[in-house]
Amino acid sequence: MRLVLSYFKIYFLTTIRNTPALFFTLIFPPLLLLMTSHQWGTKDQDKIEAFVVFLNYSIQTVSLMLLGMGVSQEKNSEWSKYKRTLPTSVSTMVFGRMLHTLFLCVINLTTISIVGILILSIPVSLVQLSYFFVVALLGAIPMVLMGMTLGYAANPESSRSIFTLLNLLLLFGSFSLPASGIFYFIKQGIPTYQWMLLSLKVVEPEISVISPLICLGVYTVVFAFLFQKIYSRGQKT
Amino acid sequence: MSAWLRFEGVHKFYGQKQVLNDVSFSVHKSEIIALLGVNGAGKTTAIKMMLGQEIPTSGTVSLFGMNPKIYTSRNKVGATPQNVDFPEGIKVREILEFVHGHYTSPHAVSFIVEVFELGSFLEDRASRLSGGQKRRLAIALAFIGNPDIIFLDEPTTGLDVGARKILWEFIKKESKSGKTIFLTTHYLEEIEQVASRVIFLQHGHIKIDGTVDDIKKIASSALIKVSFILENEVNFSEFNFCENYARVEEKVFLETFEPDNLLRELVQKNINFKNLAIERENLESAFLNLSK
Repeated sequence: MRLVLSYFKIYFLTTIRNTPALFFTLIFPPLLLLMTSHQWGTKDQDKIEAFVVFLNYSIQTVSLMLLGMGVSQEKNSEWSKYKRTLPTSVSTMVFGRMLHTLFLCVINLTTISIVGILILSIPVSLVQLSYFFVVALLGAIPMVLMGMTLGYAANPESSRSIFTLLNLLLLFGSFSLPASGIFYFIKQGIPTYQWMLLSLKVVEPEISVISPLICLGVYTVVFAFLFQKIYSRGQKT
Repeated sequence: MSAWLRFEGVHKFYGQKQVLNDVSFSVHKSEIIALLGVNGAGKTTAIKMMLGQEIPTSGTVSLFGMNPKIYTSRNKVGATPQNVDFPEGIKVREILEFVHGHYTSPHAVSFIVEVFELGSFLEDRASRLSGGQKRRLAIALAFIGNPDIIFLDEPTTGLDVGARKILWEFIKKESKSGKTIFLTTHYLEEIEQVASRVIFLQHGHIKIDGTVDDIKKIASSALIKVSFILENEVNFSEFNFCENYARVEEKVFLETFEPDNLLRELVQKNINFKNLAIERENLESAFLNLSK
């Protein structure tokens, strides 16, 4: 555990001393929330839905842009190669990285909540907010696995474009696609859409959680399997 | 005495290209071993295998009787990377403390800071250090865990004379206290002074495994160069112990298998020479001969 905290500390210090990384992971989601808030409907329900999308989006951004891209940029660095000569298991390094991601996710959720509740006056109770936090963090599991899998698979040069595009596709795919025709079926398979449905259960009791749980569960299993395969392949070369 | 590190019939291929070819050797306590070879001879691949970063295509590598891939086998191992880049934003002290935390009985951070003279930039960000300072930090990381085997891949590249001296003195001291040092370097005169054993790799195969003197004997032409200043003309082709000779103005260069007898012959013939110099084969010329 002590070593996991050591790894967490190194990752955390690297992030907080890197201004561009701080901006894009911690400032960008609340900024986007502020910039787009005037386009939401006037109904409380619409505001809450948009708020939920941005809570989940902030987690997704940390998982993909910081974790996924970070893995991709760092995996072949001399420092990473050196760390693999140290007497510690891969799981220690992975848990340290995950703890770092989780910590930044919590900071992100907090800043989004401050902006949403205090500046945009979104009517959310403490119970609802707690539920949103829990679902957002649980939804981070497939996102973290997706970020790490793609991070290990992508090369450092292409990772920035891949993760930026994927981040935006998942964001807009969760609420911008029409709920009719072929798009309806596409939308059902988008993890962020199912994640949003799961989050909204607390304000829309008629939403079924079966389909979101199955979808996110399948994504978790698939990306856990792919991550294990890709990481092992990388170690053999 | 059981080997701390063992290579047995190791082969390594990258696709069709063979990098290591039937490499076998053992490493024991207190040895200072230099792994030599021209670029591409397989030195770095061999070191990566010792550290569990590469696996052999066939054959076995064991570290303290275990597979180096198993991280517990690396508890008694310290290494320095060949190329150094430290993460952005992390201070030298934080990196030292981070690596220190991985070992069960490490040296005190303050001791390592003192030995490698890191104090003046301890609070600086490691990524912003000069090349030489980064190198010193990288070497310090190899020793901070107080490991039994230390792998140093070209440790003195980029180091100034003072830092090199500190490193070699510390290596000698560590070896005396029972530590084993395994290193690669291009500075052969340094190896000549410290290495107890040299392994020479050529095309991925061990060509020689012995002491510095063994390497010199095998690789040397056995001819010893003798030079001196001579004012008058002498016909050296009549000398019994002179194999080759050349003259550039007043300086005479002779090659002999038996320098003692050659000198006797010079004295007996009343040759009035001065500034005599006898040059034996050094490791560098032996290395060049072997590499041909």
